[in-house]
Amino acid sequence: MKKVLSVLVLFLFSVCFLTACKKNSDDVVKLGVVSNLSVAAQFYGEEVVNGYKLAVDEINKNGGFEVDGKKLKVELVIKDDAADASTAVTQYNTMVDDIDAVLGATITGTSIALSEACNADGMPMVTPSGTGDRITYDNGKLKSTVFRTCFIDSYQGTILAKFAKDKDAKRAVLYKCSGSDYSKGIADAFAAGASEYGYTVVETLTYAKLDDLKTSMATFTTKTLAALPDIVVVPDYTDEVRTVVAALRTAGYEGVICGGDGWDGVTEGYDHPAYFLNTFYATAIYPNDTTEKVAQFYAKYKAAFNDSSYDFYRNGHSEVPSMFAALAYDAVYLYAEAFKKAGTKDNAEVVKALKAITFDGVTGSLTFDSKNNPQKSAPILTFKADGSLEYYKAL
Amino acid sequence: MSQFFQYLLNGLSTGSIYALVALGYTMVYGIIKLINFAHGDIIMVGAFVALGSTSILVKLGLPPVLCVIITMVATGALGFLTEKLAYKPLRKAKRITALITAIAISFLLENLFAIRFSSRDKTSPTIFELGSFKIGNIDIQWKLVIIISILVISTSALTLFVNRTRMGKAMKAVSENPDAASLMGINVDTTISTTFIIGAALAGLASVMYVIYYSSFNNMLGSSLGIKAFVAAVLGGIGLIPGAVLGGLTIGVIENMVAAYIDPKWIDIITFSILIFILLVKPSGILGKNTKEKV
Repeated sequence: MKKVLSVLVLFLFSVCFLTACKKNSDDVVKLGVVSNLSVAAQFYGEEVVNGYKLAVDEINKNGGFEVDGKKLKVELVIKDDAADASTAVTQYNTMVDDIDAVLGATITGTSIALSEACNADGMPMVTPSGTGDRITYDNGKLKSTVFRTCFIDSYQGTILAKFAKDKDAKRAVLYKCSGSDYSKGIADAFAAGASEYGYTVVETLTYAKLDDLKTSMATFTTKTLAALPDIVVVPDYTDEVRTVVAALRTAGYEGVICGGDGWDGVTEGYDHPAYFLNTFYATAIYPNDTTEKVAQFYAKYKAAFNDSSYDFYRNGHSEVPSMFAALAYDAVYLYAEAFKKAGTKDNAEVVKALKAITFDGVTGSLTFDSKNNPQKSAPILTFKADGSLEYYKAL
Repeated sequence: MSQFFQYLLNGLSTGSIYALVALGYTMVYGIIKLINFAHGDIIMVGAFVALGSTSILVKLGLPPVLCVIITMVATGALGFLTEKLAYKPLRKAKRITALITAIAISFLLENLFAIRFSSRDKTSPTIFELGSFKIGNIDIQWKLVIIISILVISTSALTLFVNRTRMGKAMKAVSENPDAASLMGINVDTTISTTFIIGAALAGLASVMYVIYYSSFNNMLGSSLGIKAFVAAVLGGIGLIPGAVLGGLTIGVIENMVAAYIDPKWIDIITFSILIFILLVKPSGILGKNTKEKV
């Protein structure tokens, strides 16, 4: 018993000692990655890590992060949070003294927990994919060290409001699913934007769930046509979107219909893709975007994906990644820019540099607003008669 | 005012679908006092059959409207099978046993179809290429006219069948008293099977109406439609053909009026409140007779 105890004490001592040696040497920058690499949403967790790896590898080929005139190699320390909030914090704590900044977490739940810990330690954190409002700003308080590269859901409403203005709309009809925070957030932001840009939301049609929408669609169609809109906004997911678009098109409405990234894949396997002519949606990135930066990113990702020497997650993934890989790629480059601006690895200085940054990434150029949420442009996509996507413009 | 008529017409169309489904509940309940909870899912199966058969018919160059017959035959057969396999062996068991079996079949069908066809929405097949016409300034869609006509025709045919044919009269007799009916030389089993087949074939017709009216459906189509139609049957007076029709149309119109003038969120709340109110005032439903059961 005594023996066991002494071994235990020795072990605890050595743990204390090892953690006490803290901070890495001066010639590398260590980025701590917290992502869900098992259990729920593993696909996104892995996709994000692929994005980080691609960016880091590329940066190291060019010497690394430029800090105070010196090039420092970048290292990733990757931890799995198993999509669990407390595990995310535990994993962060195992590496906190060894890292210079945090990348992650991947989903909203873990990101909220992680953001509390990082903010308390003054540790810079950038999540590429946590869209929940509470990650950066909670209970009227800003978590000053926490940033993100994805836009929050409701920001798409602001983009759609801009889009309506761009289309010279005067009368908008707004569909809103009161049972979904996603839909409500976008709809409310759109309504706020509409009054700012000087056109009217003539009718708001609210439903609580898909079933309600189907039951009420005939009524909604009558009301929509009676409102004589020049734009109809449907911020929801594909099944709801199809229900609305099919009903309005068969009833003879040929005007603009638009929505957010919940529209992704709406024409896939759909029998009447022609209904989607003159419809538009805002998203974070478009794989077939021909702008040089985006095209290059997808080309590089594809090359790395098919190059077995790269330590990538491949099982279940495709060589054309989801937007999360691109947002993660941008998160690393965002740090590169911030470390360069700060000229030091000091946490407080890096945070200060992030706050003031103007960054031009593959998912658009961004600055941070008062709640540390990105203000960035988003590509607007439209459909051809066969249902395939077409780039419209960035707003 | 023209909008009001539009809403009314929409209400009558959804109501017609509820009514036709309610007929199936009512017939089965009338004859073996079983609330066939799998009835809604037979409609779901019918919608899939309509989808599949339409695309085959189009490929063969035949008019897609023939899918009505295929769907009715398929759902009729499914109704026959469920009766033979699941309900008939339980004829002498307690009523709750058959009821639970019905719920089991409902879940079985829903999940089998989810596995086979995924639970994403399917696009309804195009059975008719239809536009609309105007009366005054009311825009009337042809599909609404068709749906309401289907209800009128099928209800009339069913009423004639029940009152004028031997089999119809046998059904009435079995529903009054199965033992006495069998003593009078009526084959009770055949009569019950026929009722199931007719009820399920009507469900198939309802599937076709559903895919004409709604642009999409999924494997859960039956659960909410089934419950609403069941409510319609009870509201009008379960076991009565006119009751099912009245109940269905009432619920359809109420739903559309609530969506139009109050808020869609209130549809279920108001519909079901009305159900509770009517049952408190008249437990046997709007057209039901108040019969005292002898102990």
